[in-house]
Amino acid sequence: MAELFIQQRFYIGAVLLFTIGLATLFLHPNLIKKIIGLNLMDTSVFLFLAAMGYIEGGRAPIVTLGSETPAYINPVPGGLVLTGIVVAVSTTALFLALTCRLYRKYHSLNLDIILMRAKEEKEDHGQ
Amino acid sequence: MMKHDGKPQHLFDRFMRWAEGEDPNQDREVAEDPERAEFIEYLEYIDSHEFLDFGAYRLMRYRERKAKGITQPLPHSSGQGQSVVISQSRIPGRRYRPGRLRSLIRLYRIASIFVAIVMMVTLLGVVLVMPQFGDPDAPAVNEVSERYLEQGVEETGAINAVTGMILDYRAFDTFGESTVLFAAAMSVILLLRHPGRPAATEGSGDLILHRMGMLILPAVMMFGIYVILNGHLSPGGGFSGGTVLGCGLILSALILGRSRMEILLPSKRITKLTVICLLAYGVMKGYSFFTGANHIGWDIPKGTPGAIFSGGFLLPLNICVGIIVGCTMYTFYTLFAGKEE
Amino acid sequence: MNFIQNIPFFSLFLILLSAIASPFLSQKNGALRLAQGVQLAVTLLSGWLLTELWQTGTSFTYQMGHFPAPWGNELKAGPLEALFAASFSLVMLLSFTGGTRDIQRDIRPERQGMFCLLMQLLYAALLAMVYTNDLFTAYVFIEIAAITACVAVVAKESGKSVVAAIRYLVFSCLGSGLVLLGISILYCVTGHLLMEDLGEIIAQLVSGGTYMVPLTAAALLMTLGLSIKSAQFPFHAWLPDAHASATTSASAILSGLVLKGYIVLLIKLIVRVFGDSMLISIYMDDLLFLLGLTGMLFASVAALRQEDVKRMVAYSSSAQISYIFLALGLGSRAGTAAACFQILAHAFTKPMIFVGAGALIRAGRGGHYWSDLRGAAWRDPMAGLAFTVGGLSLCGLPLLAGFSSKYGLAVAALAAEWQTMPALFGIAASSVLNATYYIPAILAIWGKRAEREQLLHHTVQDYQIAIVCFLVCNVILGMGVGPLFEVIYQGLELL
Repeated sequence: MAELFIQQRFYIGAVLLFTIGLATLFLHPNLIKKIIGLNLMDTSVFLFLAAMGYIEGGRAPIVTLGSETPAYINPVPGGLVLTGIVVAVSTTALFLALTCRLYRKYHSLNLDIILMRAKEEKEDHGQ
Repeated sequence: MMKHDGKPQHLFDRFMRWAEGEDPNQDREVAEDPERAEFIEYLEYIDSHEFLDFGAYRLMRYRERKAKGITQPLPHSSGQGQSVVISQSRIPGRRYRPGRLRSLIRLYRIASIFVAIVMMVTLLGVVLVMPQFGDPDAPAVNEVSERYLEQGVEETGAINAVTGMILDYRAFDTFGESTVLFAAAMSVILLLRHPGRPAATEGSGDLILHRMGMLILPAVMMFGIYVILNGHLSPGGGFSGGTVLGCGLILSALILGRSRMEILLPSKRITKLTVICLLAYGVMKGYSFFTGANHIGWDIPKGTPGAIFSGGFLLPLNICVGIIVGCTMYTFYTLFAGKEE
Repeated sequence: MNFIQNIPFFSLFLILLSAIASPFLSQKNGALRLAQGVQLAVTLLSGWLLTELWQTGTSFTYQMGHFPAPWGNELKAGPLEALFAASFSLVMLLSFTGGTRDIQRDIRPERQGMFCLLMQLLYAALLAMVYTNDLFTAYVFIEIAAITACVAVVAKESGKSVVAAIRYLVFSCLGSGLVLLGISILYCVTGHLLMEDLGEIIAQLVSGGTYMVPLTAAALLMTLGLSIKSAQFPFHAWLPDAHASATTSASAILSGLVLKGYIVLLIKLIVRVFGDSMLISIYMDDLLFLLGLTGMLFASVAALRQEDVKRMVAYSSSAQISYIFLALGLGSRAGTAAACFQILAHAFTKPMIFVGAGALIRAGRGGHYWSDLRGAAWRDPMAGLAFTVGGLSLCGLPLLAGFSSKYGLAVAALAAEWQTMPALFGIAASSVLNATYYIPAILAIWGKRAEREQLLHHTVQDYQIAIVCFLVCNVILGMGVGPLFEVIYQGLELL
């Protein structure tokens, strides 16, 4: 059992990171910390994918031209992680932009307080 | 009243108290977080009315009813001591269980911890039975990845198998990915750009920043361009090189100041550049999708693998992606660093 | 290769490239007109594709690039995909046309072009979700839809809409995170991302009994993620605020299309990737069924308590989504077909209600509350008609779309095992609940007519054309049950 745990250490690390991110997302009322939680979740998935692509003794998939072909790691997860990172950057940017707007309007980063103030303000009906 | 610009003042007060021999933290509970206190009062207000649905417009409804004279005046108008007034004006006959809302919130916390733990246990169960780490016979090592590695050089002209994969084999994903970035940039512009407001921050004037920045800026830029141009030959490519390029742009904005940067690279032009590159990307990929799917031929010559001009569209695609990413990073920086209204 | 097979590719690239190029338009309503033109063109193209595929009864795959499927990306289109694409395009066009005046009123002029651009990207993402045959492509376009839908919520720029958008984004990111995790696990145990190959390998794994835990977890995670994103009952917390604070077109598109896009993906996952037998063996169908059953009752009860017209309609959306989950939970081909029909019926009904409600709010004094809307229908009878017909359709008045979908659902439920009685009870109870909140609403808007209430317009407005089209589509969906179910069954066979 302990051997299995050591063998799968990267996956287990990814799971722990994911849980920490999820708990942060749920439990912290602070928006910036929520964003950090989301980023942790994303990062854990990238760790998971990157670990999945590794092959014992494999090299980075930059093909050497020549006769002998060494073992390479699987290039597919690398590509998926690349895509995932770009997507994560994009959502984080949007998240931060919304947070900026909220802070300018309600002068707080605490989501509970923002919700309260938003509820109290008179609705302007878009006029 | 909620603005935080009183923070230095607050620190100064604490310092003065400390200097006068008092305990600086004595009224901390009150002074530290007035927002928290306000929120707790609000919770008690909802609590006393049993308005447990957080999403609903209870307060507004209450105000409307008040305006029509149905109920007693709103406790908020009386200012201080909200919760006391509320509990008096409570509609008789309602069950009032104090602290119910707070216990609900506690329940929410316990439930979220529970969900997180369940998630963790499930995923641990999953990863322990998954193919072992580093296993060369894992299911993921199959004919798909083999072809990328073995025939990739021949079929795409790229030495870097990842670049060959994302820009040629699975190029539609990557086009979607650039579109995600573009969509995010446009959304941030929509949210944060104010047309009438000139970007008028000066350079910091910091001597160390200026000298060191000038020293490393050319290196950063050169490295970014190198990574982009050699994307199909060595590790890197449009996305990573573009990020380096974006960092270079941000650094130069720090050195020169935004107003001079705005003359060099107006934000309008940056947006246009992004749009043109993404369009060029779309047109090139559209061409290759169309000809590939209809088996028309008209292939782009692949060149000799290993040379800089090889791999058909890979080099121009990498340049486009690099410019898109660099411009987007710089756009994010300018918008987030913009002054508050 | 037939020219017609290029239509999915053409529609996607037409929308994407025209959207990306739209910042170059300098005319006042340039981006809006361009968007409408593209939507019209894609509607026509998809309609053509649908008729061809229906008549020949075929489906085809379209290889994106020079490399065949497991290596390259691939699109797949059959009658069902073409049907979804055509109806989504039509709804998109009509929602845009119906909400033009609200867009011009709610959004700052210099940002309208940007709004149209992002809505077009959202539209492209929806079509890509419908057509794609690759899980990872689906994930990328899910994210495009998440970002752009969030902007659709926030475009009105009131404080409330920003708050709603951030809640929406939290839920949305959580949902797509779970989907990505599910995809990664699937990739790890199968080594494929293409739906068909995944399906084959999963069938082998299930029959061999290996990797059952990861497969179950992946199926659960992806279903969970997609149901969070489509606002299925326990995860619907973000929906009412997001809909209530958005501009009319955005509400219509969000409620009518975005939620459906994820469900179309879920249906493709169920049919192509996991297969009915595997899902039944892990009791996924029962889970979906129970989610749907509780959702349709709870969301309807929540809708009863709303004072704001848009919030009420939003809760009603959540209830209608639950119908789809209930139908999917029946675990039979008939259930899936009923789910597809419900997707179409709701996609044509809910935007009509939103467009009608938007016009009524304009016709009233701009207030969202029932007290503001009393008698508003007399000032704008066409909008009132849209709201009335939409509401009645959701209550299940015969000859309208809602009735047909409930009928299909009930027929599918009769063939189920233990689910028959609960499903029928749920449909009946939820219809009664629908009636209890829609009929007072309809009575309120047609309420007492004040002396000086006058018609607002004497000329035909563009949103009125949209409403007429919606009405016609609704009646067609209500009357043409037979042929439509034929197309859906044929499409499910070929999916």
